[in-house]
Amino acid sequence: MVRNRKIFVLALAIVMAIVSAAVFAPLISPHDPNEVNLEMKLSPPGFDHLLGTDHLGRDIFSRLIYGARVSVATVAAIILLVLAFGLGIGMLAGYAGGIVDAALMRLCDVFFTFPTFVLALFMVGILGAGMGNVIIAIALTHWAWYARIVRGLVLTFKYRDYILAARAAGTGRIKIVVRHILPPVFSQLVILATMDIGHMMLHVSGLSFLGLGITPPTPEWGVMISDAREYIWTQPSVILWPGMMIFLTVMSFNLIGDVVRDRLDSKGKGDT
Amino acid sequence: MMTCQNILEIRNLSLLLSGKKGNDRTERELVCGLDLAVRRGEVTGLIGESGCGKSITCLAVLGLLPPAITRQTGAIFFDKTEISRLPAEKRREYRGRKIAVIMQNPMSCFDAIFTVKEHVLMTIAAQRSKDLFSLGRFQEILEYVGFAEPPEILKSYPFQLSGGMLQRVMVALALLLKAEVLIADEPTTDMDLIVQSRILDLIDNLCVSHGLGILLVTHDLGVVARLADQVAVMRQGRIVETGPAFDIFANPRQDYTKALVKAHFNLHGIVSWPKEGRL
Amino acid sequence: MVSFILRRLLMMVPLLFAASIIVFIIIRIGPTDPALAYLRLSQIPPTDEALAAARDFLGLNKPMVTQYLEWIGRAVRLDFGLSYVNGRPVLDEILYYLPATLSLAGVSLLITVTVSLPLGVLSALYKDRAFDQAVRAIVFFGVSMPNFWFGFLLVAIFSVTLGWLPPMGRGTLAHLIMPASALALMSTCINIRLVRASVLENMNNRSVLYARARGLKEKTVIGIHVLKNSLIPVVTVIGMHLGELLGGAVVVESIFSWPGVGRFAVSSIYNRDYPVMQCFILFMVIIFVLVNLLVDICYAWLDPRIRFSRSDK
Repeated sequence: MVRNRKIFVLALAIVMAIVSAAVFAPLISPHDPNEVNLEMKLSPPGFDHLLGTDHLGRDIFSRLIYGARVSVATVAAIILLVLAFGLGIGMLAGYAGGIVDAALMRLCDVFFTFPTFVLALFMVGILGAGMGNVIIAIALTHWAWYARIVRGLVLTFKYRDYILAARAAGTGRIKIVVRHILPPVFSQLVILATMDIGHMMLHVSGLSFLGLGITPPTPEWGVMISDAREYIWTQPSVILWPGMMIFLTVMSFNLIGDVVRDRLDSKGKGDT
Repeated sequence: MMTCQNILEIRNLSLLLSGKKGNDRTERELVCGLDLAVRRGEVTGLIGESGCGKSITCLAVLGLLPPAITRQTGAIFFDKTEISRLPAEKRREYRGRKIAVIMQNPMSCFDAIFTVKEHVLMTIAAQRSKDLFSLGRFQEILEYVGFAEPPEILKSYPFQLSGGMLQRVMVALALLLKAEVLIADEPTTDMDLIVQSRILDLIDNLCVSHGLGILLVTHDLGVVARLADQVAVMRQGRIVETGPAFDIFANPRQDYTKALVKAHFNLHGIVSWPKEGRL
Repeated sequence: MVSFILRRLLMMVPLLFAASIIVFIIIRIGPTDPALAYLRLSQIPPTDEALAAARDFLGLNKPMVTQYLEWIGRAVRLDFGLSYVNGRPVLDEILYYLPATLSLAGVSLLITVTVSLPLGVLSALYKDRAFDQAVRAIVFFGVSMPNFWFGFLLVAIFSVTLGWLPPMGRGTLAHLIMPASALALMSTCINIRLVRASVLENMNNRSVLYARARGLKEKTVIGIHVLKNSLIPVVTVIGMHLGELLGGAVVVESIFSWPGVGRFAVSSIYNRDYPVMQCFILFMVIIFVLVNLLVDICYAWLDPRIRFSRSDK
């Protein structure tokens, strides 16, 4: 299902724009995102402040750009952690089998008894707010899903003919895993992760919005919405921009995830 | 009792598959100018390799072509009525009641979350004259098609029965509705020999004692030899040869038919001959 | 069926205990000393003696295992301790706020199911037509929308600009509309996708072809065969949706000042009111697990394949 090439290109462009905004934030942003200027507070969009200023007179446009940096970095760290945990534990369970497998899967089951956002909220609540703790909390609440999927994939690949043939030919265990099992499992996992990026981003900004994630004055989109909430009656546009950024970013990642999955699915069907 | 009248007739049927590949529209002719007739009390065998358009022809007869496939030309007559021109609701009344089917892969044809009884009740409920048909009668028919304990079958879910059993349930449904034509699409694939021969006996019996017209679709010449009165050989969407079964086997004229028949005898030996002109 | 339910109930017990161990571990690895939080909230100056007394009083000097066993032992008897903030039993507090959250999550779940079923089915039936494309576009935007931002957009439109709906609080039905919609948006959109895909898949089943071939009316084919089959995956994900809704409720309650257990939990997190936080998460887990059990029972009831394969064992 190639839905619409143009939309896909647009989504890719948005993602690239956001990632480059994150990387080159100091070069692009016209102002210091944390420069307080109470005389200029809640000023409307204009030449100097493209999107106006917030309740402390900080330039919204610059804060949005730096916000991209925070969001991208946080989500990237979460995804890396989840992939590492999921791959490690899933591979171990799938390949070792027996008691190890059973124990690890029961551990996953225990994590499945928690609603993810509630558990992340609780962890951050105990560990304290801040970027590092948010990353840990969200990674710890999501690894079990990945571990279970990896285990399933390993089990399907483990008994494929070419693996059995490699084993019969005397190839070592580690070599089989690294050469024949890891690559296909990993490519499947990357697709899953792409589709999950949007979801994780919503978790991060949700926690930050509650004041339990990334903490002010760090320019994070969820924090910005939280800051702006009191001004919804007087200056609703202040709340519009950060939300729009989250929305656009999540949407673009979702779209790319969908397209990548569809591609791979149709490819997979072609093989069998 | 034997009348030689055509109960089902397909005239000059052409089916077109249209699809999209990227931005281009593609079109492919699946069936081309097909003529075929089924007479009361006779078995017409439609043979050909898989993918030659047999099954899609059956769907065209039922009026159940998938959206991507359209009927370009041709007409389908049931007992002199051109059913291919009927509106959808009228056409529906022919399905099941007049033209019944036994489909291949019976396991996938029944809805796993409904019991056989629920399948039967829904089928009865769809008929215009519901009081003609009853569960009680269906139980008798189940016995007739060889089930020792019909009530057990009725309360079973499809996944609790075997493929052969489900196929007999399909036959029983056709009998319950007193269908006049039975389309049997590969009725014996994936079955062991004993079940195969029981199904074939049953079909033969339907034809002889109930006077059904049967369209037997298969790629298996053994089955055709066992049952068919008339044979049509299909290849790449066209009928390449038709005639009485005995003639086709004894005297194939087309190269394709010759090759088929030769392969058949090589495989099964000379014993597997069709029945000689029952007419 | 009864034995199936009993077995599932029994399986729940070790899972719940394991979950409580995880909760306990998280609290112990936290950087804050509960005794310190206790003193601060009781407005006692944190002198060394006071700290030692508080540690002793809260049982923090005992070995970890003893601490856990004492805590879980009391929890099983529904004694979750006293709030550090106001000294009232935590259970009473949670039970006081819980109905508001359950009604919010319940209504959202109801919206999710009642909106997504017809939209998903119609979208599948009119595949690629204008209606389907419109639904798919809305769904596409919906799954990317942060619920808190959507909540504020609703407030900006219906309270600030139009003045139709109250922006916060609980009481009348009008108070419920915006929070429930904000909360239900994501699950509804995900569910529409699921229903649509599932109906499309089931319509291509050979059993549907055979149903038509037996002359069944289109109404019966779609309304009974396709719909009942499509309902099965929808039921199985209801548990997952409830998890999302419970989490989302925390955020939505904060936006709309909805007096629910989520908002209470967030304020107890700000206060580091440990007993409340523990009780909150255990309640969420219990509700989540119970609903999933209910879902499994419905699933087995709907799908005989599950029912019979289980009873064979």
